[in-house]
Amino acid sequence: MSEPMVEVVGVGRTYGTGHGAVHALQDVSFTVAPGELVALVGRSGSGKTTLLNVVGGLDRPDAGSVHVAGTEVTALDDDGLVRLRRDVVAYVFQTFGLVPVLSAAENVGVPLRLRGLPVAEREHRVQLLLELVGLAGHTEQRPGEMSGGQQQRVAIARALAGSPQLLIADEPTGQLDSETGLAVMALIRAVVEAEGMTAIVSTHDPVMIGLADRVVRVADGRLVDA
Amino acid sequence: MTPTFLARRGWTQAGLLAAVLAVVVVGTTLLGTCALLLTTGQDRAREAALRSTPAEQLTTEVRLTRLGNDPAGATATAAGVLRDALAPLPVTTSTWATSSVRDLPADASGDRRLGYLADIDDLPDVAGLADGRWPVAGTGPPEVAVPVPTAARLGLALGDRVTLGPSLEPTGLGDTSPVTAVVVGTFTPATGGWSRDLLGGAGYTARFEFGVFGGVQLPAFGPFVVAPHQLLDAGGGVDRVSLLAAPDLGGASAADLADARAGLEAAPAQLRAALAGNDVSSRVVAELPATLTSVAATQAVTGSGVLVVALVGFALAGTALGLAGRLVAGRRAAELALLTARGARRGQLVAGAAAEGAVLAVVAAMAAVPLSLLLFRWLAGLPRLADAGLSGAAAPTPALVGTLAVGALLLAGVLVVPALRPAEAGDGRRSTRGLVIRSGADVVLAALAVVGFLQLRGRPATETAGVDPLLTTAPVVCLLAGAVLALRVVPLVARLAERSAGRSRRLVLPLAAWELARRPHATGAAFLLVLATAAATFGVAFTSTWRSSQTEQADARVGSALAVPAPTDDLTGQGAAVRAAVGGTISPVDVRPVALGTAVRTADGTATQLVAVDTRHASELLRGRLPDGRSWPAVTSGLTPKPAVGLALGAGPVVLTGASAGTVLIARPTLLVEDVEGSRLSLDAEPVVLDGAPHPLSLQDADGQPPSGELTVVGLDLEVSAADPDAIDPETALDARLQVALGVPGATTSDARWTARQPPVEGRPPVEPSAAVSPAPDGAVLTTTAQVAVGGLPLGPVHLLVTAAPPPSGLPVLLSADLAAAAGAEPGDRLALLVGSASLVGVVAGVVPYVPSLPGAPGLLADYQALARALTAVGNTDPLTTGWWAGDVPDLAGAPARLADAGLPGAVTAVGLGDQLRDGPLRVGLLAAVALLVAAAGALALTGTALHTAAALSARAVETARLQGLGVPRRALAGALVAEHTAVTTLSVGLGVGVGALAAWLVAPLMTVTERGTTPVPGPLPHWPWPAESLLVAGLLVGCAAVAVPVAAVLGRRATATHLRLDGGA
Repeated sequence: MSEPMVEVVGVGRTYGTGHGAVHALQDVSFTVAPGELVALVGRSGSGKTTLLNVVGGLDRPDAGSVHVAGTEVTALDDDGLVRLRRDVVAYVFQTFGLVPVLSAAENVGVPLRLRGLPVAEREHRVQLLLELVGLAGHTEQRPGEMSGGQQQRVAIARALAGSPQLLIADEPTGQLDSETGLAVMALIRAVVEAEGMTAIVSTHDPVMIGLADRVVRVADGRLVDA
Repeated sequence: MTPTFLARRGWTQAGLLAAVLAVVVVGTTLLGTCALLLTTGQDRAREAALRSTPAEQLTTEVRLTRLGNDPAGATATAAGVLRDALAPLPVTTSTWATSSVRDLPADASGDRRLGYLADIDDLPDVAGLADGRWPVAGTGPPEVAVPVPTAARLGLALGDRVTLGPSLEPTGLGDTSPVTAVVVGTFTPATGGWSRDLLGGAGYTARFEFGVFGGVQLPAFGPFVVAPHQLLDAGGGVDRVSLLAAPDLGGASAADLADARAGLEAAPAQLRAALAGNDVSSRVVAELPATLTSVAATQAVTGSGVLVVALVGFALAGTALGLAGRLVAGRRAAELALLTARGARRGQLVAGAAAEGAVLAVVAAMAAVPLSLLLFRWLAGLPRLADAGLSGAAAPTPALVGTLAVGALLLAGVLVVPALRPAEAGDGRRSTRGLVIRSGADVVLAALAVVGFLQLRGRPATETAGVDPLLTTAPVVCLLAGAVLALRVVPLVARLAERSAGRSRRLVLPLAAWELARRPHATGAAFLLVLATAAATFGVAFTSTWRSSQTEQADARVGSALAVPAPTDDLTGQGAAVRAAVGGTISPVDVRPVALGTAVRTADGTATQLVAVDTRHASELLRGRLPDGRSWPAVTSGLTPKPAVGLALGAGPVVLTGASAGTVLIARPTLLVEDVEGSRLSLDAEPVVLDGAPHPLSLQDADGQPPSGELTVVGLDLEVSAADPDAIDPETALDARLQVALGVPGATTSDARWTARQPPVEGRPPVEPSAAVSPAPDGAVLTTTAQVAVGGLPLGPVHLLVTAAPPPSGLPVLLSADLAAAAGAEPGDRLALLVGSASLVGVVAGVVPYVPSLPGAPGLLADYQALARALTAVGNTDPLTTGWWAGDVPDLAGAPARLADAGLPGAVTAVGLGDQLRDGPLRVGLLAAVALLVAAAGALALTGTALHTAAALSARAVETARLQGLGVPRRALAGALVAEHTAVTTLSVGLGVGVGALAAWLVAPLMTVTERGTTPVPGPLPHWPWPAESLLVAGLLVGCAAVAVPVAAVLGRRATATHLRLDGGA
């Protein structure tokens, strides 16, 4: 049996102290196999985003450990986390997370610039990615000039630009209509299968849940089933 | 938008609003301090200026003549009119009555002597008692006090009686019986204040001009000062009364002074009306209106400058607030969009913004009142301003509160403007409509600036009567327009950076370039930095230009390092006294009005003056910048005559020996001598019969004193006439030959070519006299031989003139440019000059922009020696020196005091005048305001930078968190922000320096006017003080970096996962 892509053991995260403390995560443990598409399901405030942030190294747990692609994320320093997010993990945010002053091509090119790719190679890859997500004709448009679905597809293209091993998507269809959301979900599914990457997607969308290989439910900071 | 909502929002955004409030407070405080400079500061400056103004420029004199039998009544009436005219100012009056001239007992030789009485009611204030006591009124003979020289020459002792005969003036002076008075005291007149005395306080003169047209000259003594009011109360015998009023100007308001000025202008008519019932003749001589007008003009000029500072500061504060307003609007864009979506009308949103702005305005105004007072107090306490008399605390005034209220409201109103417009899209794309509107506004502003500049340049060089609106607004418009146009460079550079970003492999610099090029708020921050840097650098350059111009103006006005007037006509020993007090290089100077042809004055009524100075020492003496790198020694080289070698006057008598053939002649000799300093003097002697016998001459100067000091004889003027005129047939032409030898003890012969000449006689053949110098056992002998006409017409004495230098063919002169233009004169032209009563031929040697000591006035410059020779050649041997100039003076600062101690008051130094022009109470406020502007510009620039970077902190937190989520290191994100900021700051500061430099070059010289608002002479040169400017720019760059770098570091640390939950806001 191959090593899991993601291994979360006994993770806990609390915000605040004393009576006002919020236990966002409590003793959460689960694993994700390579190439698996896992749907993280739960109500608002159940801890989905916190769990995704902990897995992706954007947040540090107060307890437990997280391993991603064999690396203990919770033991990494800031530079290590930066390398993790640059080389291993890619994010897709609910609010798309695009830089508003950059064009679609420039947004997609950000991870490639971090790797110092030659200009020609970068531009070629950006073009391919935008074609992959069906936005080849929108390279110069800025986020404010695109629809929500287009923006999310750009975000997905950006996430794929660094050839990550793990794709983390936090409610990627939360701001989209059902039809567009379905298209985005299908895209994620297709990309996961085509690129062989692992994906953890938090979602309310029953279609996405249906597309997932496995569903992990979170309630009140705890896993209901993993 | 309820008050509760506004209050809660304000509390939540307290940091942002506090920064906005800080900007409003800074701007309002600047306005308030300028308002205090223009009100309280101007009042103090006026008081300080008037305190330091010489008393004679503040007093008003009424001169009464033809007083008849009731001089006391006329004097009382005049005093009442004067007091009313000067109301409401408290006034101190001084009455000086002078009697008609009377005969004193003849001297031992039987020669007539004259004297006069005086009634001086403040005698102890203008004289020091030397012996005895002051006279008092009593029942016995009138008591008098006399000047020490009077007592010494008349041999008067305390207790002696002296009788002054009946009045010698025409009738009409009432009772003029002889007066026998008792001398009870002697006094020494204090320096100054005796201009009302017939003899100027000298106590004696050998040649008092008396009689019809002053044709008789007799020795005169006096005044014989009686007890106060005794002469006036006597009812008659008063020839003239001088009533001097000195108002107390301490604490006088501008309104009081205006009333006094108006009263004085109406005083002559009122006085004539009040005295209309009798024959009293009155004249009002008031210096105070001119002094007050001058003060008001200077204050208006300074006020214009302070207003410029206030306007520029206001523009800066408005710009900073505009930036703040956009940042606040950007911060609140989502909130406003939500409110709009929830049904809030635009009017409600504007009202909410206006209410918030009003609260800010009130708080800012309240804070600005004490801050303005504190800042004014600190400013006024700085050494330059304190020395000028401006120090002290200030109290709130209606003008201050009003200015702050209006200023705060206007500034806070800027915050409302963004609420009137929809926020720009965050993607940085500007609408075409916005671009067109902005381009149009830029064009209009640029056009206004060009028009303002051209009008400023073409502004007539006339005295200003009030605040000059052109002088006030044009510089502000030019700075604003320059900053707006310079800002056009930023997008160009940003686009270049954008293109470069596209070709780069990296992320940090391209990210900075994209943010710079595409974030609209970056332009706002850039404009503030450009304008602030332009204002600050312009302020520093203007200060340097202005200060340098004051120094140059002082040089041109004084003409030399030091100038002192020659106090009396008696010049003997004055040169030595000047040299002893001053040292350095000194020269006698003659400054007098002249007429060019028939033109006495130019079209504007300015009299043409001739300045004659020793041009051999032009490099040491003459000051004032000339354009095109010329120097005074170079331009005056054509004025200097060849040196003339005279006969040094040694110890022993000068002996005149003469003989004549044809008839016995007498000659009245006048020796023309020069002292060591080159000043020309004349020494007279009693007439000598040309009988072949040697006659030692008893030489006397104009004061009747024997000559002293080292003197050189450079000329001899012999007034020759027949010894027995009755023996001459007036209808028969008779020529007599004469030979005169002047023995000069101690002199040595030299190579000097002495010449003699006599005026031609019509109808008689011209005869050239001869002159030669030969050695003698005890010195040298100057011998002249001539043939003179003593019979026939014309009658009267003949002048024979012998000089050490040949008579010049013309007087080389330099013309001032305005005079040359008015006269149409060019180098080489010959001009008819009327110098006093002497007609000379001037030869134009060149044209200069101005004549030293006569900037802005028509003038001629000549060499002193050349002028002396030219005047001598036409028979004018009058004393020539009206003053002294000195250069290369060690301890120049103490020289005026030393000269005053030596009896030569009134000395002015170029350095002293420069200090007064720069730092005088009426002027110092301008540079204080400019310094305030520089500081405020720096503060607003840093505040704006802090606002901008703080806004970036909050606006980019989410974006930063997302980029961190993509794997961008925190350091890289901080680096991008620092790079963006550095690019904006460096570019903006560089552009601002360019705009400031351009304004300094073009506008600063035009703003530099004289204290009366006229164009300075020489014209101001723009200055760019590199050290100060470099320090300023470095300070701005370092200051902005000190603000931005920590913010960038905080940005990276603060961006956390929390921000990923937010959609565009903190």
